Amino acid sequence: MQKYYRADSIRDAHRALRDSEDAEVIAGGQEVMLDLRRGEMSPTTLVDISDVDELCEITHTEDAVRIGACVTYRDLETDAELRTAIPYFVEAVEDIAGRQVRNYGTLGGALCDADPVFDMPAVLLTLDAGVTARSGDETRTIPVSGFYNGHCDTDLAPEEILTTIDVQKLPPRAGGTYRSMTPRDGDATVAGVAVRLGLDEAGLCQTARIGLTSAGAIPTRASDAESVLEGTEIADTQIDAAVSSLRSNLDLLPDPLFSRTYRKTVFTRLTAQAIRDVRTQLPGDVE
Amino acid sequence: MSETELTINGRSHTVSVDPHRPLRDVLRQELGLTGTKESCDSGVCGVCTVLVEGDATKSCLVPVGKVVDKELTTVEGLGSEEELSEVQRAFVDCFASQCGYCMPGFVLAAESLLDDNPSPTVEEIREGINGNICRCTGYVKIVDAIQEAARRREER
Repeated sequence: MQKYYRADSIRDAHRALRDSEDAEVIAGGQEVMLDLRRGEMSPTTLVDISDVDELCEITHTEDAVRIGACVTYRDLETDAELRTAIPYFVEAVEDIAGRQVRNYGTLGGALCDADPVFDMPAVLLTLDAGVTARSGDETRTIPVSGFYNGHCDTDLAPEEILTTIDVQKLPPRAGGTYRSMTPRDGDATVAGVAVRLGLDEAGLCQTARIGLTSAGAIPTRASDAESVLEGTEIADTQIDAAVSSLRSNLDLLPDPLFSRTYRKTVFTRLTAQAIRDVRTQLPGDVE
Repeated sequence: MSETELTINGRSHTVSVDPHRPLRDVLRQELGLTGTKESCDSGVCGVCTVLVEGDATKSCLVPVGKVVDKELTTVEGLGSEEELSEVQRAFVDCFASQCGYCMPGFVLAAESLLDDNPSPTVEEIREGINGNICRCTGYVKIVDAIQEAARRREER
């Protein structure tokens, strides 16, 4: 007999998971319902963790924000402090699906589902974000860059529950953006590029981060392109060099609708646009 | 199967269903509330939109076990045939409907949009309904209708 269990604490959720032979965790349900319908999972028990208060909180400190795994996209969009601290993070959230899905979909759920078409992991990669996972009394932290093992596969053990996503706020002299291409509003992302740049006191690029959506089996960083930018003035020639490095390193999966060549061009253009856009957010930009 | 109590349009209903079943199927097949439509089955088209505690959601993506003890509103709970809701009235007056299949979803998405943002810009309206698909109208009259509904609500 199917059971639906609404946990009231993380401990309670762990107990429910242990008590059932084949339980699955559900948060907002926006992906789980599709998995059930496609027969990709057929658990006896669904353990709903979206009523657990501590998983639904956004906690700000001076230079960081801790986002509970069950915080919805809607909660993120309406958090004024987050919008001020990391504008491009919230702007990326606003572009996800339609409002019905954002009302229920959670950041933690998207991370755990690990579908490479989801947008936020690329953004989180550019913010050097980390997550925490809990199993019983044990808590461990994992950088988002180490969270994905393969297509729709995360580093979480079966008994572990993702509890928070931890993000550093933008320091001074830094900016970011996320650009993506979808066939129509709200569709799955065909190509997405997140960029964060930070300058040192001399005005040179101290930190460059480029995160990619739908560029392979897992969300990835374009590390070579990042190193091309670091230490430079982010002049046009350096942007061109970074973009050309990104293009030659892209290793795209086959796609039934969009050829590799086409997607490479989209990634290239989005990256160039994104870097130029972020450059205008930085001090000393003469454009 | 388990006994499940749902509060829909202010009335309490008890149904015996599998708790993993999509809310949409329970509304349509167990309760005869067929104003909630079905189409894409994958959370794209928006015809199954209902309100949960006032927030628009796609009922094909919600297991019924999740909404026990929540206030649900379907299109049947808005206006009556004699007296349509302001949003429904505006859709009629602006000729926003052609075949009509997507209308319940659009009307509910519009209701929740206007509750959150009583005077949205055209851009905000377009963004607010981008989770709903209409194959007939081209959306222009739907956007007009939502603007008109916002005006009427303000005058109220």
